[in-house]
Amino acid sequence: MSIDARNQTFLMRRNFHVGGALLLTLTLGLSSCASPSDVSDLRAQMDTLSTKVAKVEREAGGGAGVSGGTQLADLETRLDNQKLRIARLRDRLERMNHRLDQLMNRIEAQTPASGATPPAPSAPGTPPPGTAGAKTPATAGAAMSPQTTSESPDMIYHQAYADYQAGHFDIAISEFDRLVKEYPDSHLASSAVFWEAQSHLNLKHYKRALALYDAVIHKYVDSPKKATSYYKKGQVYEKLGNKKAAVKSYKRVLELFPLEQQLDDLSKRRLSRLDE
Amino acid sequence: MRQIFVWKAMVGLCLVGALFLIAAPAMAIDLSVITNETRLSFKVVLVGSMEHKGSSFLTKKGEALVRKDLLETGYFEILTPPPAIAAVFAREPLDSVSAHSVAPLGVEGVVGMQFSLQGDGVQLHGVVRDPLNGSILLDKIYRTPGKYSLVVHEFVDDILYQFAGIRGVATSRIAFIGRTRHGYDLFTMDFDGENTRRMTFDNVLAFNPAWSHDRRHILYVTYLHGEPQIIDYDLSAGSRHMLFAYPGLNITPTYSPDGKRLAVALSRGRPSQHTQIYLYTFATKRLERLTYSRSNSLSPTFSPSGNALAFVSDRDGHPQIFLMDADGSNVHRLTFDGSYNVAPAWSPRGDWIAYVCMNDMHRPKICLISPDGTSRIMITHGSGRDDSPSWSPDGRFLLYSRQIRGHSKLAKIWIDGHGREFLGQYSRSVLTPSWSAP
Repeated sequence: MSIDARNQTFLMRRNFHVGGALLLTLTLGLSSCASPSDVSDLRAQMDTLSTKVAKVEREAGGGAGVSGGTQLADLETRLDNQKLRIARLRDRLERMNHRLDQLMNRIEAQTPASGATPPAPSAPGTPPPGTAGAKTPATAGAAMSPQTTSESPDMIYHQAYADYQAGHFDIAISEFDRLVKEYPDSHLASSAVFWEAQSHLNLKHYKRALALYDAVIHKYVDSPKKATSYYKKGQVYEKLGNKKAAVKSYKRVLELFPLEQQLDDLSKRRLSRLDE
Repeated sequence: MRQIFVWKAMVGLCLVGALFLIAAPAMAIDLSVITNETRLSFKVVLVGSMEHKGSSFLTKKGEALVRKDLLETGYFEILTPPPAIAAVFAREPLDSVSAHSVAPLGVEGVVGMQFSLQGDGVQLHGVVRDPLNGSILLDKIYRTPGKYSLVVHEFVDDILYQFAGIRGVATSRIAFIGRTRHGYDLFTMDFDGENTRRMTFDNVLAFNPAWSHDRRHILYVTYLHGEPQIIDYDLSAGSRHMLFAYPGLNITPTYSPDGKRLAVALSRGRPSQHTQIYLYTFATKRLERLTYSRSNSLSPTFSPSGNALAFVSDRDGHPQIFLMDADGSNVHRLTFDGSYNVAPAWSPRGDWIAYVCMNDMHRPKICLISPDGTSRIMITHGSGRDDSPSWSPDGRFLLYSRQIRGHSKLAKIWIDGHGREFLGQYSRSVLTPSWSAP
């Protein structure tokens, strides 16, 4: 995830129950782990370092103004040091975001009444017939009782995600859908929509998957899954034989998320294949 | 070797860095969370020879192994009938009336067996009777040209399936790398540590064996030609061929659950020696790069559905476990506790990922984490250095190497951390175990 996206995610989360979050943070003694100023400072440090690294890389790569192996070695050492510092900062940022996730889970678990809303009359786009198919005994109870609000969002998410990873995509869809309906304001909602889309993709429900990836992109503008959703849309369009739309999706990844190295490289590879 | 050096350097860095870190939070879940499905217990009585014409020596050994296998499944409690009832069994071992006599004891199955020698092989006639109504639950003849243990393992797997409805592990095998006098070689053994067989005689550094889903192939990493390369050992043909020998590092191969693909870490001659994860499809012989970070990515392991992979990367400065989709997208970090989390192994049930973590004394231990990262627990303790977890095919046991005072053994443990036992009689150090499918 890009630093911008991380920061945006953080800001979104801060807006959600900010008072409760701060109170709980203090109560739990986590203030030293994740505070707004910490994250902002980290981001500033990473930006500065990234700029320095880019500059050193340019100098080392171009060779201009560098004469002799000593200077080159010095540049390489500086580059390695800066990269190490960036990695450490990224590690701290990841840990803080993880702590924030945990904090949000605790807040939502402790305030289910305020977080829960009555189930919506219908899903945002009814799942295709058969998606609520056979359920295993272990999960059927949870998945078939949408009126129950005793489960916190993270409990529903945990079960749904486990079902997804076990390949029980039909069940996962109903569980993720339930989370989104019952807790539309949960910080897990956008991820739930994303994994619901993934489940549909695995079941080859391509159009439904597209609609849900679009929901992640447009409805949850600060979603941590936004960049991946653009990429996945490209893949779905490829499956549907819509090469033009696939190219457009991959290009959007490159335009909007230049710091998403992994996705950018994957998108470039896809684009080159589509050009062949 | 550079790779090993890099990781060792990382460990050192982590240990220093850990001094400045906030102590890892207490483990997140109670042990009972992972023991729910592992405490079923069926009471059975073992009856020796159904008829008195079997080989007494073979019968004695066979019965002992059936008892051991049944107990090792964790699903059975073996009762000893009182003398009066035992006398009845002695006269009519598997008569329905005899079986019915143990019903008041709460016995749910009477297991009878008869071993006999058939030429160079062994035959086992196995019967299981329901004490309540005297009906026969299982009646099958098992034959093998090999050792009696093979038919016993099959029989016990059938019994387990009859009672618990799950496929047992008694016919599964374990591959590992064993220290030899002059180096290392590939070995296999039965699931219970018996029948150890040396498969190679190369005497060079080797590690990371990985079984194919049909147990016909073992991939492993060897330094046969000076650099780590991956060999495909075709067990059915008894032949080996080099599968990956790119310049640089060729390490940590793993099969997809359907056996059609494999994931592997290759550096492919990059000056940085950074390994990236690749996906190889057997049908098309196509190699597809999955990771693109400017750091190491290695040790991939597939989810049971084959749609996702867990792997190790030091992209954030320290080795941590990450997840990604099997197309390389959707990468996200899974582990946050500690600075050294490596060697992930995804449970066949999908509910846990086992990996090597560090305890407070900076010793490597085995941890479990749920794939969404919400639950984490350390399941091994003590002074040993635990490494290379591998799941049993039913997802109830973990196998790993445990090093104490420089000597490494294979240990088996229930996923809730109880019942640790050492496997095998191999006297030298053993490394990187891999548990096959049944």
